[in-house]
Amino acid sequence: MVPVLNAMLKYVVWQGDNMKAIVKRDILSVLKKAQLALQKKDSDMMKRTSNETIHNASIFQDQGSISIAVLTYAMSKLMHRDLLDPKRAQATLQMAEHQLNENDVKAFTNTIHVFMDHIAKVDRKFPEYVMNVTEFAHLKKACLMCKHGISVAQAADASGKTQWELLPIVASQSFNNEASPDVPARQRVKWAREFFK
Amino acid sequence: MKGLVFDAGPIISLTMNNLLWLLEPLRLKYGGQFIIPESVRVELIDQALESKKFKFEALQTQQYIRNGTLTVVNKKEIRDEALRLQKLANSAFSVRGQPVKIVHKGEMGVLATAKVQGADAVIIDERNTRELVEHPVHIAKIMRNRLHANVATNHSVLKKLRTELKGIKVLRSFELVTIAFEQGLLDRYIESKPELRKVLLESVLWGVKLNGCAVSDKEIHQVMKLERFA
Repeated sequence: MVPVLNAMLKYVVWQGDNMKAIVKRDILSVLKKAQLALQKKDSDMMKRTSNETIHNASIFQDQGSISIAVLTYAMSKLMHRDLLDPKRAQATLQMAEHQLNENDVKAFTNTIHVFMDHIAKVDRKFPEYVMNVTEFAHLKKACLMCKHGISVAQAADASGKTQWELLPIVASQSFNNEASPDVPARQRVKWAREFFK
Repeated sequence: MKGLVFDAGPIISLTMNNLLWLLEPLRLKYGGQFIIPESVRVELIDQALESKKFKFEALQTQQYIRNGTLTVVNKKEIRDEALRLQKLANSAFSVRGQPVKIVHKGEMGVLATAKVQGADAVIIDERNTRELVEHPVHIAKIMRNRLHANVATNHSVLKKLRTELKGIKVLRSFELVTIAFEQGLLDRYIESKPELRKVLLESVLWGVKLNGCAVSDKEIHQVMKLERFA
């Protein structure tokens, strides 16, 4: 397993055999949608599925939920580049779904690990691409958490990133362009002038 | 004690704009302390030192702690208060019966420090913590619109939070660079060419915005107008 995956796989963590029922339900829903996207060979649908999972990641802030969001995002990128073996992906997701339905979280986690390992072996340069995708995807997903009302520090912590990495990306998002509803800039400047006179 | 309490965001924004040096003259002008809680120091220094990309930025920031421009505060009273505020804030809103953790201990450390130390204001760039202090109900609206889910608000918790955070003034790196401009601290960049003053102000305002400060285009225009450039 390539070293970069070890770093990535630390994100695929659930506490032992425990997974909250509500998290499980939502991951199962994601797996079903991902399989449908594979059947339809629809990378846009896969991407939409990835975006929907951010709602769960924002709510649960479970790094495993974030990783599933990242995985579906990575799959959409691979589909777009025609680098994903759809049969293998389909079989893996079906197995993962079955294992999760059977409450075998360990086996489910292992299936996801093996699948990520396979993705890395598809292309020699792929680990770099996957790393970039997952790194960027983690940042992007953290960014979406901020959009949903989660603070930057909390989003950074939940996604394993630092504020140094996240802030410039948050800055470019349209939601960061909203004025304060209660305190206009003029008032803040007035306060600042009082402090620094 | 006369002090301003900084979150990590404004320090990051100033650093990324090569304006961290402003902290020293601003602090002298202010005449009090520029405080960071220990939790913010960890985010700014320790976490950045673990990365490859931001090691140098961490060292730059550390220099301002070493020379006393930034004072790190690490009191049990503050840590306890931060934890209490964090628990409150993170139980204010829930989705599908699940409380949503909206804030981090770092940000609550800033607010707790301000309360315990009796600070004049907090310096926070990010939107959501600022909304928590000034307009917490707005967070529920944001979540409802973005998550497309029913967001339950615990009104008694929200009321308690409002009481706890009442009176805390929030400034941003945006206001700090505006003041720096007004006081001529940035004049070195325009070499006595007054015709460049508009460009100078615009550039630093956009600079902090594009490095993370939650400020709108409209607010930039308001300040440009305030400074008689629009």
